[in-house]
Amino acid sequence: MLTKIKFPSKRLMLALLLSFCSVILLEASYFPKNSSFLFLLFSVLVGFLFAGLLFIPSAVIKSKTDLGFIAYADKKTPSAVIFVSALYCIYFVYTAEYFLLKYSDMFSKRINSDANIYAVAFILLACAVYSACKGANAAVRCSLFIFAFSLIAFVVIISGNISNIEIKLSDFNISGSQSDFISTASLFATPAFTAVIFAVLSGSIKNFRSRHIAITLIIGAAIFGLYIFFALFALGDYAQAQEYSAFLLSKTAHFESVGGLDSFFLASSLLCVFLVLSLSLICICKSSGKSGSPVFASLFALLIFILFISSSFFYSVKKLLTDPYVFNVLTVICAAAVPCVYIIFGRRRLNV
Amino acid sequence: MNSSLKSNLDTLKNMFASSADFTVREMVISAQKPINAAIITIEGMCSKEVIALSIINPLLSHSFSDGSADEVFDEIKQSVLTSSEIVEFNTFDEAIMFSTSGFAVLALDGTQRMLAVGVQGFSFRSVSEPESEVVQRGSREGFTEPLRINMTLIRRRIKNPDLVFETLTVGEESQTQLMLCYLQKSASPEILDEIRKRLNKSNLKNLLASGYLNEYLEDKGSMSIFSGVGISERPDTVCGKLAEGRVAILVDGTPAAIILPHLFVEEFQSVDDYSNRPYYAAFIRILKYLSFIIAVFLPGVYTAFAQYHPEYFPTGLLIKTAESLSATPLSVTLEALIITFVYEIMREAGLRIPKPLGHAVSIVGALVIGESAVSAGFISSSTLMVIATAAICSYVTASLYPPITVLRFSYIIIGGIFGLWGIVLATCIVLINMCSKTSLGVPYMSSLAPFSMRSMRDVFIRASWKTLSKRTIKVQKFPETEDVYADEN
Repeated sequence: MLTKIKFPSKRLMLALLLSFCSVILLEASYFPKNSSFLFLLFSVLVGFLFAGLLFIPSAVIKSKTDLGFIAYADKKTPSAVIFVSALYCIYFVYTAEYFLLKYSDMFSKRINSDANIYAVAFILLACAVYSACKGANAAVRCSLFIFAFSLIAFVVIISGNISNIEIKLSDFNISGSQSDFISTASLFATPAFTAVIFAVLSGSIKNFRSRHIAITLIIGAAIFGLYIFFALFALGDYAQAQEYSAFLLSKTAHFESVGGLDSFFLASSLLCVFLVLSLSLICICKSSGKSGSPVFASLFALLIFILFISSSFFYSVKKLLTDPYVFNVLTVICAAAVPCVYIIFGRRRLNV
Repeated sequence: MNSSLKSNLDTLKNMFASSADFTVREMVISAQKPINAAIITIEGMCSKEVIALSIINPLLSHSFSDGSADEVFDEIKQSVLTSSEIVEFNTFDEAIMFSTSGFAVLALDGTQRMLAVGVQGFSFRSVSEPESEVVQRGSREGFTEPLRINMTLIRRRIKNPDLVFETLTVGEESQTQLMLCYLQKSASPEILDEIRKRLNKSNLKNLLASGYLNEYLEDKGSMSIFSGVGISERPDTVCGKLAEGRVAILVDGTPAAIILPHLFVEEFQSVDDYSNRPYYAAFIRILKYLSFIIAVFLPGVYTAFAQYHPEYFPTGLLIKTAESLSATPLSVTLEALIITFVYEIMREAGLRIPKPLGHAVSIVGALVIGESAVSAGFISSSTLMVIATAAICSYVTASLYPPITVLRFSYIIIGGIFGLWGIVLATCIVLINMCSKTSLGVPYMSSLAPFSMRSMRDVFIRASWKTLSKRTIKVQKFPETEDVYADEN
């Protein structure tokens, strides 16, 4: 019953916002160490502008036809939709793999280096399969709780950890090489994968307004900006010599005085990654017209797990699966190129 | 039925297999041509005094006019019997149904009709305060076993013709009567239809308690440890729910009403909230939510912290806990599991054994399990304290005790194996399960997810009566509820 009904677009946007957050929670350690604040902020703006552009084709389809992209493609070219479905399934397998690898990397480095990462990935995927079986509505409803928890975690970390803000004027110079800029901007452009999730799930939402996307992107960019601000300027009492200083939003913190704050950070990142994996599996099921099918979701989860295992044996596979450039190129194809082709060539029928 | 009294009585005797409680009082009615008659009752279901006063005496003392058995039958029905409840029928099934419901069945020779006369007089428990829903302020009346008395308890509180009681029968063999109870203008017709459909589909042979129906009334694909079916023993609670568009089901023989649809936030609401001042009601509500969280998570989180993340304990507590744990032979997970398990055994024993022995169990529990186990170094005092705190917290929301217990056990095991990481992930699964659950199409987590600002006035806080009485939010108006029925249509 629940899988069929439509849910408000604002709720999907909240889930997408949390998916943005998973990027910064997992990838904060990959920031260029010596970049200035304005340089990073500029990269964030470019990244989010890129993401905004990728939302346009599916938003147009949704506004004009009230359909998600896969349903639209099915309507326009019923014989070719299988190829579109296959492309989207591959894309979401890649997305799930990308985040799973980033998370397992963080897990083994930060949480428990002795842990069996295969077990971690397997359990995480099993939970995502359960979520996928329950459908998009349940996952986006759950995102309300994840958002509430993350908000509390953020407030607790800030209020419990930051002792001072030390702003250096030199950080406001836009400095950095072109290659640095490209790598940073491409890192900050990865939230654009949410445009593909939107393309697939937009058929299930109601009360959609284009401004919802704009507001979500602005809030996402603001969160990224805020995060970078604290990571660069805040002085904390916590986590000095921690491998991932950005976890604690502070450069010069040390451990003893405030206990247990990083658990909030780790819990938030786990919740966000769980949401991304769930949404990816939901989109896979939705793209192939098998919404809520436990067998189908399990099969794809197994495929993701096999890829995960192979990536740990073959470094080149891992490099390919965690490359933000490849990820962004695939995102452009799925979020913009394919829908644009359909919009341009299907315009005559659309107008009818 | 045929017109021979002897044949009818034989048939009924056969149907009841000459059961010892099947009673027949035969008599002769003195009309011009005497007519054989019989009063059929079930021993213990009727009042003998009332039978004598309202059936036997009038029949034997009345001088009947001349006529056929059918004319005498009509005369008896219209001007002889003094009972206020008389029903005419002509099938054996009805004869069985009436006699087993405490009616006296009057049969005359020469007619195919019978009369059921209301003379119910079985003994039952009087209306008393429900033990599971005790309130400080408010009515002390609770439901009791007979259906009619429970109906009266509701009707006395809602003196409005809008209140409807609809009779249904469930149970192929037990033929148990149910009463669907709702306010015509408030309840959703779609929800009512769905309830009727589900009750009619139930293939129960015997319905002996309302709990049997829960599984039939739950939504398909909503498997969860949380229940989408509410239960209340209080007529005032039921009346409040009816006003919100909910439907109550009274089952004959059960001193509780089923309330549908049922939402998660309702588990934290009680009658006292609406009698107390809003600020205090809000305080109690928040206390209940916190208690629920502590009852579910505390033992699991403690186990995870003690085993994998001891650095999360404040230094003083860490030293105390480490000292306490190092003196015991078992791992903290096993310790927590054993204490919780023993506690559940003691609780179950305390519930089932006769009351006078209950004190003995308490003493054994407190002294042997508590004091002796700690002093013998078998379990640590810190673990015992954590489990005891969680156990007390679980009674704050007594209706959630079953899911709390299962979740508590699960979290101890998960926390012991996977640490905090496992607890966070397990919480995701529980949340997904709860968010996907519906109760007759109404999202179980309504007010929270889907979030509804206007219904938040009675979730974490209780708004003043001035605000609450301005507009009653009907349950079918919760977000994403109407869509379900629209989709089905």
